Amino acid sequence: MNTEIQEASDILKVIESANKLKGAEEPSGVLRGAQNAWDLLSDEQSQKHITTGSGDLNSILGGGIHCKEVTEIGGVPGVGKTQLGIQLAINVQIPVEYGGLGGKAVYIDTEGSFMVERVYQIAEGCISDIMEYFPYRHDKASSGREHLQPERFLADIYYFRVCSYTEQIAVINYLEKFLGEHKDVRIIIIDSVTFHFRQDFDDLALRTRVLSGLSLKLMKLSKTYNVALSLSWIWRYRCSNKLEVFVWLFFNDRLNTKDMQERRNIFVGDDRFCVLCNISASEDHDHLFWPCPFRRSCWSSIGIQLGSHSDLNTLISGVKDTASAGLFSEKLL
Amino acid sequence: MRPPAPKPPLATSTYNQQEPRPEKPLLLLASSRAAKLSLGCPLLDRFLSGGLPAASVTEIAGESAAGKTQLCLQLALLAPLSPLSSSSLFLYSDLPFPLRRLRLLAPKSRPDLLDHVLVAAVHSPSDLLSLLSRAQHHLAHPSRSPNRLPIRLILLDSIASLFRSDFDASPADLKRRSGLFFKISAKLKELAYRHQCVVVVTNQVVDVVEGNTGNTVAWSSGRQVSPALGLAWANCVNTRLFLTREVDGNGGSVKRHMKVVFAPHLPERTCEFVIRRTGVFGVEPAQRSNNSSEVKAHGYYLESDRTRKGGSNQHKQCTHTSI
Repeated sequence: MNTEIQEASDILKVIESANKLKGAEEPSGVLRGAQNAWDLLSDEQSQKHITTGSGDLNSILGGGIHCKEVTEIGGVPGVGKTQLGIQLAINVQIPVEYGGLGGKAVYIDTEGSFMVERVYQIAEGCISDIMEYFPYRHDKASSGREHLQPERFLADIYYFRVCSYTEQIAVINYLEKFLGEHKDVRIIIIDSVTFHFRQDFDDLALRTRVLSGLSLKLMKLSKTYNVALSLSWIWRYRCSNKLEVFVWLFFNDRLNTKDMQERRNIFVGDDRFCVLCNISASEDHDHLFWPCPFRRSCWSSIGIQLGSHSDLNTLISGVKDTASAGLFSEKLL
Repeated sequence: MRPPAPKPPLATSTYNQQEPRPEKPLLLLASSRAAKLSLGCPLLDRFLSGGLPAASVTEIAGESAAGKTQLCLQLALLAPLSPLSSSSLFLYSDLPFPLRRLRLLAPKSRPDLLDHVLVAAVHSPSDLLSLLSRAQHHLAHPSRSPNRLPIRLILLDSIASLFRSDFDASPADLKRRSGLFFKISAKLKELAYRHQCVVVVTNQVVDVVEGNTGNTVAWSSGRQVSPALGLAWANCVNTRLFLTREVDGNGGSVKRHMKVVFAPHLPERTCEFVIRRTGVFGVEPAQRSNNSSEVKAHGYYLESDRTRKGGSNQHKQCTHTSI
C-alpha cells in the first residue's frame, strides 16, 4: 500500500514538472490551455474583422467576417458569392496602418469562376477606397504608396484550382502544412465547397461523413495552426476513388462501424460484436484493423508484419518505414 | 450484418495527382487577358470585355431562332484566326448539323478554315461523357502535323436537347439528371482548366408557368421564359448569356438582344445584335437613339473607350461599394 502511494506521488511530480516545461505561461485553470469565458470575451473583442466592403453587411455580421470561424455564403447562381469571396481575399490584405489585417489569402477554386482580371479590378477599387478614406495618411507616409499596388494584392493570394473531390480533400489536408509554412494567411476561401460532391455520390451517408469530416478539419484549421498527422501522402498514389475515400475515412475514424453507428444513435441491435471473429470484442475502428484475428491473417497474407503497438499512428509509420513506402501504400490501398 | 459497402464512385480525374501547389494570380493575369476568344465584332467584344474567357464555361441560352447556333458557328470559324489559334470541337445534338450555313459563313478566300472545325454528333448524356474523355486524350496528345492546330475551343449545341428527351419528371429521374449535370460540367471545367480551352454550351428555354423559382427570367417573343434544365444546371456554368428576340407587331422586323445574366467578370448589361448573311454583329446603341446630343455622347464614348479600361471603371462602381 505504502509503495503504491509513493509511486503515485512520484508520477504526479513528473507530470507537474512536464507541464511546467510545456506551458508555464498559462495564467489560470486546472488544465493546460484552458481559458475562462472572460478571457474568451476580451479575446474576441480585441479581434479584428475582415471587412466585406459594405457597411450594412458589416453591421449584420458584427464588424465583418470573423477570424477563427467558418462562415458559409449561400445563394442562387449569379447572386454574387464569388464576387464577395474575391472581395474578401482582397480586403484581408488592407495594410494594418489603414485599419486592415495585412494578411494573405488562400483561394481554393472548384468551379473555375476566379477571373484574374476581375480580381485586378477589385484590387484597384479597394486601393482607391483606401485613398479616399485616408488622404492625410497617404500624404504623410509616401512609403505606404509602394504597398498599394494591385499587383501586390494579387501576389499575396495563393490560388488552388481543384478539378475533382479527391483533389479538394487533398488540398484541404495539405493546408495544415501550408499554413504552418505561411503564418500570415488570414483567410481561406473555398468557392464552392459542394460542387464536386454533387456528382458521383450515390451513397448520401458517405457524402455526409466526408463533408462533415472536411468541415471539422476546416474548423480546426481556423482555430489553430497546429500540425497533426499529415495525411497528404495517401492521395499521391493512383488507386480507385473508393479506396482513397475509405482510407481517408479510416484515418479520421469515420468508418461506418457498429460503434460509429451507435455513436450516431442508429439502432444496431443487441449484437455489437465483430462479425468476422468470434471473440467477444466490439466492432470498432481499432479492433477491425488490428487485433481482429481475421484481419491479422489478411495482413500476413500480403506480407506485412504488424508490430504490437497500441497507438495507430506509430504503428502505421513503423510499417511505412520498414516496407518500401510505395509498396506498402499499394498494398494498404 | 455489416452495412453494404458504399458503391465505388467513378474516377472523375484521370490525371496524375501530385501534391497540390498554389498558383500565383499575378502570373496568370497576363495570360488571362490575352486568352479571350473574339466574337468577330468589336462591339460584341467590347460588350464582353474582350470576348469569351478561356478556362471557364460559358452558356448561351435562348429560344429557337434567337441566334445560338449562328454564334457557335461563327466562333468555330474565328478560332483559327484569333490569338488562340486553335481548331474547334463542335459537338451537336440537334440533328442535322447546319453544314450549309457553316460553309456560307466561311469567307470565300479562306476555305481552309473549315478544316479546323471538328464535328461530332452526341446522342445521349453518356455518349457525351465518353466523347469528352476521348477529347481529353486528344487534347493531352496533340498531333504533330503542322497544319492541324490544337483544340482550344469546345462547343456543345445544345445541352438541353440531350436531357429533355429521355428523362421523366419523377424524383428518381430528376436526381439522376442533376447528378449527370454536375458530372458533365466538372468534366468540361476540367478540360477547360487543364488545356486553357474556351467552352461554350448552348441551352434552350422553358416558359415560366408559375412564380419566380430563383432562376433567370427574361421576356422573349412576348413570353416570360427562363433557361431550361433548372437551377441545378445554373450552378454548373460560370457565365450565362441570354439571347432574346422581339418581333415588331406589323413591320415584322426582329430585334435581338444579348444579355449578361451572370458572369464572374462582367456586370449585368444588355446589347442589341443582328444576324446578317455574313454573321452575327452588334448594333451600336447610338443608332437607335433619336436625341442628337446623346448620339454624340455615345460616339465620343466609343472613340475614347476602345480599351477595356473604360468598361472596367464602370464595372467597379457597380459592385465595389465603400469599405
